[in-house]
Amino acid sequence: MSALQRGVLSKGLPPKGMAGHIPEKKLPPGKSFTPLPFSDFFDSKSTVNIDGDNFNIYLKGSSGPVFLLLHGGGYSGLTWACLATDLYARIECRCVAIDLRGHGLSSCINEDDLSTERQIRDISAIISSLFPISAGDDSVPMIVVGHSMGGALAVHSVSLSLGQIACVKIVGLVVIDVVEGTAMEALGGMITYLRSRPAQFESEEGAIKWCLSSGTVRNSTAARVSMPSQVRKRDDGKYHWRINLLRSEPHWKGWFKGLSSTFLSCTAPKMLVLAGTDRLDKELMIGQMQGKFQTTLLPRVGHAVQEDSPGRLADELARFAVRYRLAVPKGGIQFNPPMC
Amino acid sequence: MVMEVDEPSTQHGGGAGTSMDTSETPSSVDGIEWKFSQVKGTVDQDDTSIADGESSPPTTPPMNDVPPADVISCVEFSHDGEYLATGDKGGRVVIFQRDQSGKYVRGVRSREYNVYSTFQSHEPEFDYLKSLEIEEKINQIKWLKKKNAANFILSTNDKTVKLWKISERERKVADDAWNVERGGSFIGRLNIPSIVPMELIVEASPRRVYGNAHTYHVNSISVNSDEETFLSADDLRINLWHLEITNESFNIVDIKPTNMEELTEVITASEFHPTQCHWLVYSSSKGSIRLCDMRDKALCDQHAKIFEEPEDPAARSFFSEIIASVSDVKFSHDGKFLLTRDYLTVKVWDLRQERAPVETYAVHEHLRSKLCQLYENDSIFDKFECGWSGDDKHILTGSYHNLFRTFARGTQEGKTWEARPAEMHQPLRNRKIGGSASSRKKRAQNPGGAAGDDEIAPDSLDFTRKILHTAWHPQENIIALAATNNLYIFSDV
Repeated sequence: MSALQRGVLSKGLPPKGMAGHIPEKKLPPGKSFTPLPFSDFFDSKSTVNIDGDNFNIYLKGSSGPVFLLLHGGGYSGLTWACLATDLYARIECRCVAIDLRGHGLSSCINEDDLSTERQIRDISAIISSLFPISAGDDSVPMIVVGHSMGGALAVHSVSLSLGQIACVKIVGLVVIDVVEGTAMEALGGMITYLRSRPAQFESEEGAIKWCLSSGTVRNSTAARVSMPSQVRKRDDGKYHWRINLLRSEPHWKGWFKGLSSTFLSCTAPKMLVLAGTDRLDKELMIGQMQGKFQTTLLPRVGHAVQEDSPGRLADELARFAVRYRLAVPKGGIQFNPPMC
Repeated sequence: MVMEVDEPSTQHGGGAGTSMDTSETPSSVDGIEWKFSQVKGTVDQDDTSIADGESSPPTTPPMNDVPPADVISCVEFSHDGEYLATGDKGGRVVIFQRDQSGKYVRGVRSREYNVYSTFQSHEPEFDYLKSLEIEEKINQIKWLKKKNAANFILSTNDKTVKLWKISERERKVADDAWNVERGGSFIGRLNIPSIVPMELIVEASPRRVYGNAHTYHVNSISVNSDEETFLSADDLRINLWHLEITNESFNIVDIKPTNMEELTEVITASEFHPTQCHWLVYSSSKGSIRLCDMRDKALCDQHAKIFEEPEDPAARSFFSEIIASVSDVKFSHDGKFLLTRDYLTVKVWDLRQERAPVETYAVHEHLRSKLCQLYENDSIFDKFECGWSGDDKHILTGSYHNLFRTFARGTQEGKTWEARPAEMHQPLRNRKIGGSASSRKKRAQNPGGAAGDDEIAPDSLDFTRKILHTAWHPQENIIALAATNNLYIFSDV
């Protein structure tokens, strides 16, 4: 078959290697796979009740700009655990990681409505209740960081609702590893990928082991803290996935539609973090050439950038914050501006 | 059901093996039982003796060991069936000739084919403008009808079509001795040398080179029934040539969009009608077949007929488009039907009915649930050929694991056979793809099994061994199949 014909036939199909045959990685012997508690990383967690929906949030830090961390589909707030620790070590900041509707420890009345509109309202409500209006206070500077689905939600939130919250000033927007064009194309492969995952695990350790050996996450510490929150023990004693992502499929397109143009239209300073090989779509490429946002490429990481290389990502975020005079570096750490 | 007057009545019920009730199709034809005849090319010795009742898989050398240049890429019988041409990935053409001694085996003329001629048809080239290699792999070979002592074939690679003349020459040599001496007188019986025929030399010489006419990869060539013109089709264009003229060709079909970004469909195969010199068909990657009449216009972009089956929305999947792509299209010998092959089925179309095929046969339905795996290992892009028997009553096509299927038209089930070496005239065993738990239990209970039936578990299918290219003798039931680097010949005698 000629290359032209193959190209025409493969249009719209997921890139190969996503589904089915995931090469098994050998796990190094002697490594521990026991789950790690959130308290090793975050300071505290609390529950925010919005009209009967309970959202779990993890908090760290007491002063400085707030990094609002939004996880991706199927993940939980603990995906940011390592990143929060590393970021906190570099700059003076506060971290707020939310377990979105239907994920982690949050429990909501309707866990199937994962539409963009619904989740944006959730996020606004949470932020409003975390940072209530009080007289005399300056508005809280907030940098919204989102990964994958969370990145899409971050963009939509910033452009629609968060800007309207009285006590909060959006001073930065960071999107990790999601590009509208590539995400839309990959949606097809998503279903196959989800079907190819094991449906259940015998134990949290088993889940962590799978996570590492399938290459989903490459950093064992991150996997040990984040994986347990992605599975939940059911009555049969086995650990099933916390959320059935396949059920959320009707909402997928809505998350990513119009993402690129909305991203570019936000006025806050923006950064796009990409894992290695991702390509920018046409809109973003033009935007990047026009200097509308900063692009950072982190090679040798998987999709969960914040878990695979929390240190390097923390460097990038810290540098971003310091450059825009949003945060103060800690303890003599120098961030030299990137030399051109 | 409303019937239109000029359409043949159909009972199209979907699924495998639908039979059509018209006067043209035989209502039921006996299936052919194939027997091994020959195998060409190197085969592992362990294969040749397999005791009856055993079903151990032959230990063929792993596919990596086969030199890629030896992989056969096309097979074609000549119009009288006396010659069989094969082309390979290394650009070579090997022509076999049927045994000419006139001896009879089992009541019919000997069906043995022996090497007649081998020559290098195409060489690898390099396109300097595009920095692309042009493969020498022979994509198609077509025979011209024999007009004199020599044979002519057209062979093509991705870019260039060549006309080869294959002629015989008898080398003669002088034998015996003179017995005349110079000078002096001679008395007695005069001996002069006699000319003795030594050996038959078969020469292949290129007579015409039709090049520089295709930007994209040529996938088909077809000689017209007028025996003067032929077409060459690439992904987006079809050109018409005259056999004598190499520096000019006419473009008759062009589906290239002005903006290549909008490309959605390519041409996958094309053929002239066997008797009507103005009709040609071409199939597309979207699963449609268009019939064009060259008398309409100079550029036949507007089809005269389009054969397209509406997609079943219930069966839609990610791979629906890929498996709908037609990989081969063949006119029947009587010119009334079209045979098309897509990834999972072969379909017979009546030229008078465009909206649906009149017969559909499932080739390897067990693969429908494995499409994802086949996409990952690239097998879903394999282009299988299909073929008619000489009397148009049977259909032949290949599958994986060196299996091939023949369908007797009008019957529900086709037969599955495996191409593997055996004793001459040994009947091939019917194979079956197993799968259901009940059939496995039945097999466990009855280990002897029905005589001749061998089950293969769908998971143990070897996707590296496939029969993509097949050919059926124009008059007799002799078939030639290309299995990677081996050519198998089977006959019904």
